Order: sequence, then structure tokens, then C-alpha cells
Amino acid sequence: MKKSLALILAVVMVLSLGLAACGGEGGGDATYKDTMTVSAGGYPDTIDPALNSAVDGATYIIHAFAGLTGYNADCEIVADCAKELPEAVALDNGMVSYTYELKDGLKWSDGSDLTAEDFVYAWNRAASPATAADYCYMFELIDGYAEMWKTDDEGNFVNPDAKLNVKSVNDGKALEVVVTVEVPYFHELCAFPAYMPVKADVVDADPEGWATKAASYIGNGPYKVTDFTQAQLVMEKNEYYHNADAVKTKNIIWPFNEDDNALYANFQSGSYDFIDSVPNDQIDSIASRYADEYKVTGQLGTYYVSFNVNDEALKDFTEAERIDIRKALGLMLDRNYIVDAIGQAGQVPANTFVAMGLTDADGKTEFMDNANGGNGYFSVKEEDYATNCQTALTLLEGVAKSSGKFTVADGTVTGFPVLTYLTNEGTGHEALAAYMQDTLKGYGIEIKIEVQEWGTFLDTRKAGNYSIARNGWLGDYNDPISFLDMWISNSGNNDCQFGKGAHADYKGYSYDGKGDLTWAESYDAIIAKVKGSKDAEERFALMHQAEDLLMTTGAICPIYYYTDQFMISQDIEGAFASPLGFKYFMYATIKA
Amino acid sequence: MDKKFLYYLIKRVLLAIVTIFLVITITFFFMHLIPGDPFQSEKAIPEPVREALMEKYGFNDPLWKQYLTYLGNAVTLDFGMSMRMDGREVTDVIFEGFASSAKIGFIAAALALVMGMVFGAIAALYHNKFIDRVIMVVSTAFVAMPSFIVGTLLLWIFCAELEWLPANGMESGGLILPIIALALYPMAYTIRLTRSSMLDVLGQDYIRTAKAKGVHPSKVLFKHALKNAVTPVITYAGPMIAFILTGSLVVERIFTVPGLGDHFFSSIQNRDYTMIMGTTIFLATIIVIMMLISDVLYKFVDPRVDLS
Repeated sequence: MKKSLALILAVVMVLSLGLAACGGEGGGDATYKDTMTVSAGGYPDTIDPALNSAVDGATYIIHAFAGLTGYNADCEIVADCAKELPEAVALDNGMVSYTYELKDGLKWSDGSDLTAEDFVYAWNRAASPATAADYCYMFELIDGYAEMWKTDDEGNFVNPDAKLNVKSVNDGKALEVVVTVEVPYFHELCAFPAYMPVKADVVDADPEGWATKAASYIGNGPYKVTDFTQAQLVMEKNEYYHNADAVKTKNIIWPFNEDDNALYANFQSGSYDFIDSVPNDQIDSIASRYADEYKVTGQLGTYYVSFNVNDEALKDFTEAERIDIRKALGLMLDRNYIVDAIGQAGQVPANTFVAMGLTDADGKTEFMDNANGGNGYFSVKEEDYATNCQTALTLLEGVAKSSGKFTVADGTVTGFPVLTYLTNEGTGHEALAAYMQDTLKGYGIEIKIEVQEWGTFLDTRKAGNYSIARNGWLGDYNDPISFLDMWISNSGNNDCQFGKGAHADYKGYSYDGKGDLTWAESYDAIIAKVKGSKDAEERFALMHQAEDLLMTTGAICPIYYYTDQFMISQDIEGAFASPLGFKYFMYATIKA
Repeated sequence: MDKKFLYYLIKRVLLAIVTIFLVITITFFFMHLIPGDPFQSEKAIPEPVREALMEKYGFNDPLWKQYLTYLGNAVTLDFGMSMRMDGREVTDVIFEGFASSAKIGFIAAALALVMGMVFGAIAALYHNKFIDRVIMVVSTAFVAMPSFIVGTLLLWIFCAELEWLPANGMESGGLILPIIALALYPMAYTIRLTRSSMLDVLGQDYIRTAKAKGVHPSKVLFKHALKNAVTPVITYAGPMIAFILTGSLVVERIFTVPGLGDHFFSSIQNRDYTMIMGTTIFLATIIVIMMLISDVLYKFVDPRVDLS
């Protein structure tokens, strides 16, 4: 099969199955079982809505809790505990407020009343430094967050008792929240696990352990937890859920299992009705043997290769030369080959950093389709690969001429410094490393591969002790800022080391009509402006500018957009997956 | 119980405490030598959050101080909270996992020892005959095959293809395959140990004397020979039982047994310091106890062994 055709098929498969996965239907005349067994992952680190940062944990939480908003089967944001999605109201100080009217008669799974106070408590808890949650920054838009996290010169918190500007109004029947800037994704944030309400008295009674025991794990969602061991999580329909009539299956059992082969065997034998990962080396046979059960959907994420802008191995070159070197090496990789032969899971070749599936200002078109004036940052068409390689050689010829450090003749590079590619263990990651080594060797460029154990790898990459490294990013919500603010100078995820060390003094960027700017003066400034912008058009235009600037560095080399693969029994109807990878079974039925 | 034996026991218990202390010390400092910490992931957490966590778990103190604090708590059997699994006590996680692992481990160990000694004795008795050859080929194969191969093969044959047994350790009958997968290697090893030591014993003069005096062959085998041939098996059984009771990462993952095995591996990968310490101390303690038991058993099997 021609690779271009394969690409088209891959995209079609992703999109069509993505829709199928989102638009499940229920009903029919068949009889139904009252229990489904679905596996979302291994034993979770936590299922406390405030502390969770994992996809499997989020799936459990959205079944046991309900936020102000939620997703419907078409993956659209709809009101859940709220009566409807409120409009933003502009305030005199330039901020906006949202008032969510709560549905009448909301109750916890123990039968007690749920009020807006419970949301106030939960949000303050999840955002506060005392909780120290991974996802505390999901609340940074809310007024009061900055006060909460303000520190003095020694790093001590100045206002440990500060609260978010969110309050219960109308006798606990509505929640009013003040947001510093109007953003299109605030309703979406309210559907995120961290925004779920928690019951103050059970949490206060055992702040560390309440979410580890079924008895104290009180929620307000479609299901309640009846058993939680190291083996499994068992949920039963919560009769107090406001939409309990829509919940058809009485029990859900979530066995903890993270061995791909074991998951697959359990699916084959019928023990599990759903598994969230499949053995990578068997994808071909699974896709043909289980064509109806094996699904691939889009996911908000990009697999990429990052270059260290302060790389010691390239210190004899000027930054302008290094940019060309990085771009050249990136262009020499055949992304179509990588997704076909190495990824094998319907991944889509990437030519932007902001992933597939994020919408632009109009709320319809894809942000990535409009990147760089609609062209992407290079072509990933199969037929353009040869041209890409030619462009790469031309770039290297230029560097060879200006630096005199190596030579390029007849498509072969001689005397190029040896670079090291850092990756963690994993068949796919190591196969990509080997492919890269092999491909670049064809041009006379030698790459050494260094494989590190996971924890060590993260430490090395974060500290910037590498030349080139494997990297990947999954967005937190449908807004490109979730991909862009990680590259500001002092971000903990700035693995490329932009604006750090020697790169802090490099003045080669331009923004807002001014040239010769440092990273802090350009990129950091754009991101700050995005975060302060009140106008959607302007915000998105700025985010495109930020990505343009990011890609001029050549230090981000996108490989493919992630996909999410799973297997689901044909007996299940009405289950769906969100682009964040969360799985929704609360409205699903399973045929007997 | 004589005085000498009591003195021996006290000496061994004291030695065991020193051993565990050394294990704690070495593990604690080596663990902190590995790069990374419990709070890292692909997505870095915000710096202030990180600082707050470092403070909460006392990571900002000098290492020696953290060590002394840990040692002080460990003496009172307080092994702290897991740093990755929020809100869970290390001891709770270990005991819950141990309950699952020990259940299948105990059966597997018993199966391995009994079958191992029986087949080993049979092989020795029929030395160089067909049945000996068969037993040796099979046991060599099981000694050579790593558990992930055995486990995956069992899973594939009995669960996926034949669909005779569930792949899931939580279902009824689901523990049969993990028990077999756990037992095969130690069984094969015990066969080989028993066989070679039996061959040695069967060639001794007193066996010939017993045979010459007309003692029934089965009595010669089980009373005179096996009892003396069992010493190397006891040596092996002590640590084997300790390891098998504390679970196997591979077998538990493959057959979905919520055991302890996984925590040995994942705690290191996650740099979950308190969990690494907890699992290591637990394993060390069980090994020390099993070694002590097997040493005492020598004395009963072979009165010539001098415990002092």
C-alpha cells in the first residue's frame, strides 16, 4: 500500500472511529446484563478528585462524581449539576463572573444534601498550596488563585489562608465564580475531575485516607463505590444521582490490570468487556481479528523530539547555525514511515506542536490546520519527503560553509559532531531511536542512543543534560495554551531549556514589530499577553504567533499526534471517550 | 529445649536484627543516590507545589537527618505513608498485597517441594532409565524458561485458546494458573537437587547394608535415603519460600493477582521512597526468618549438625 494512501486511511480511521466512539447509542430490544467489567488501568495512585492527575483515575472519578458541567455522548459540554451553562457577566474591574444555578434536590450518595458550598470547599481545597495537587494550576484563571500562591523572597506562602473568589449564593442554590479573563474553555474546566465537588465532613475527618476506602468515598455521580481494594474498584448505581434514570447498568467492576497481554487475554476470554490498552506488537493481528472491537480515536497530544538549545555538543556553532542544524535533522525523518512501521496505531504524522483536535477561535476549524498560515511548519506529505531531505541538505550546506566545522558533498555530511539521543525504555521509543540513527547515518551523521530507566530519564531531560531527547505532551483541555505556556523560561516542562543558561542572553527573536529580543522578551511576553487577553480573536492570533516563534527555534521536532486505542465488546452500547482519553460508561448498556 | 539451642536462637535473632539494620541503611542511602524523586512525571508539577511536597516529606533536611528520622520511626514499626499512592500507609499496602501473594505462594511452594522431592527421588531411583531422562529433560526446560515465558504460554494456551481457565486471578479457578506458573521453576530446581543428592546417598555403604539386610525398598528410599538427601533441599527451600510468598511481579501482572510483587518494582520506578524501604525491609525480614527456620530444621534432620 502506498504510504500516502495509508496516511489518508489512517486519518479517516481516526476520525470515523473517533465519531463512532463519541456518538454511541443505547436502546434496542435485547435483554441486558446488570454488570459490566471494564478495565481502565492498574491500581491508581489516587482517586481523590483534587489530587488525581492520571487518565485512569479521571475515568473512575467522573463515574463517582458529577461536576457543574459534563460531556454528552457527542463529546459536547453540557450542564450536569448546573441547570444550564451561564453566560459570562463583565465586571467593572475587567474580570468576568459566571453564576451556575444548581439543579434542585442535588444529593450526595449517602443521601445528604449537596449545595454550592460543597463546590466552594472542593475548589479551594484542590487549588490550595496546602493540598499541593499536581493540577492546582487548573484553577489559575479564578480570581484569588494568584494571592493564594504568592510567596515571599524565601519561598514561604504569604497568604496561606487566601481563598478563591467563588461563593455560594441564593441560599446555596447557585455558585458564583469570578474569572480574571473570559476564556472559551471555562465550562470545559468545570467538567474536569479537579472541579468535582467533595463532601467536606468526610474529607476533613480523614484528609489523607478518605479516598482510599469505599465507606468514606462519598460522591454525587452516576455511580457510588462499594468496594475498593488493590484488586478492583466496584461501583453500584447511585440512586441519589440527579439523572439516575439515564443510568441503565447497575454495576461496574473496574479490575486493576496493566499488563497488555493479560488485558488482551481477559478480553478474548470474555472476562473483561473493555480494555484501555492493547499489546503493541500484536496490533496487526488484533486489528484484523477484532475489526469491530478494536478502536482508535484521536487524543489531544503530540509525540515529539526536543533539542536542548544549550547543547554542549553544538557549542562551537552560533545559535543561527544551530537552528538550521536542528531543522535539518528534523526534516530528515520520514514521519509516514514512523507511524506505519513503528507507531502502528493509526497515529497521524505531525507538522505542528499544538496537537490535532484543538479548535481555533471560530470553535470549528482545527488550530493545527491554521498553523503557519495554514501550511503547517513543514510538509508531511509522503511525496514531499524527498524535497524535505533536499531542503535539509541545503540547510546543512549553509552551516558547513559559514562554520567550516564540517563538509557536505554529494548528499553526504563529513565531520559532523556526534550527537546523543536520549530516550527511556520502551519498544516503540527505542525503535524510533534506532530508525533515527539509521536514517541520519545514511547522510553520514552519527547519533549515539542512550536509553535510561524512566525516573532517571525524566531527571536528566528536565535538567537539560542531553542533546536530543524523546518527548511527548498531552493537553489538559481543549485550548492551545495548554501546549504553549509550557515553553516559557521558568516552566517546569521547558525541557528545551529556552531562556535558560546561555540561551537567556541570545537575542534573535522578534515580536510585536521589534527584533533582537531575548526569549523572555518575546515568547514569555506573548504568553503573558495571551493569558491577559479578553478577546478571543486576539488570543488565538497571539497563540498562533507563539507557536510560530516556537517553531523558528527548530528545537521542537513534532513526530506524530497521539491516538488512543482500546477494545470494547460489541455488547456494550452507549459508551464514549473524550479527547482527553477519559472513558464514559455511565449511560452504557451491555447485552446479555 | 536445651541451653545450647536457646543460646543459638538468641544469637541468631540478634544477628537477624543487625542484618535488617544493615539492609535499611544500605537501601536508604543507595535509594537516594538514584537520580529523580517521587514527585516527577512526564508532566512536571509546578515548582511551588514541588517545594510544598518536599517540605511535607522532609526532603529539605540533610540526608543523615532523614535517615535517623526514618530509623526512629521504623523502630516503632511506623513505616510512613506511600509517597505516590496518596493516603495509603506503607504497612497497609504491604499486608494487603502480602495476603494475596502468600495465599498462592504458600500453595505453590508446598506443591514445588512435594512434587520436586517425589519426582527427584523417582529420577534417582531409576537413574539413567527412560523415566529419569524424561524427568530431567522436563525439569531442565522449566529451570531454563523465565517466568514471563511460562506465564504467557500458560495464559495463551489455557485462557485465550482453550478457554479452560480464567485469565483473571479474581475469578473462581483463576488462581490455578498463577500457582502453576509460580511452582514450576522451584519444582524443577528441587527435582534436580533431590536427584543429585539422592544419587549420592544411594551409593553410600549404609544403604547397601540396609538393602542387604532385606529392608523393603520403599523403606530404604524414604526412611534411610530421602531423609539424608533432603539437606540441600532445606537450604534451598528457605529463601525460595521467602521469595515465593512475597510475590512475583511477572506472574502477578500476567494473571491479575493483586499481590505484593508489583510493589517491589513500581516503588523503585516511582521513587516511592517509603514504599521501597517498606518492601525491602519486609522481604529481608521474611528471608531472615526462613533462613533461621531452615537452619533449625537441619538440626532435626541431621543430629550431627552442630548449631553452636
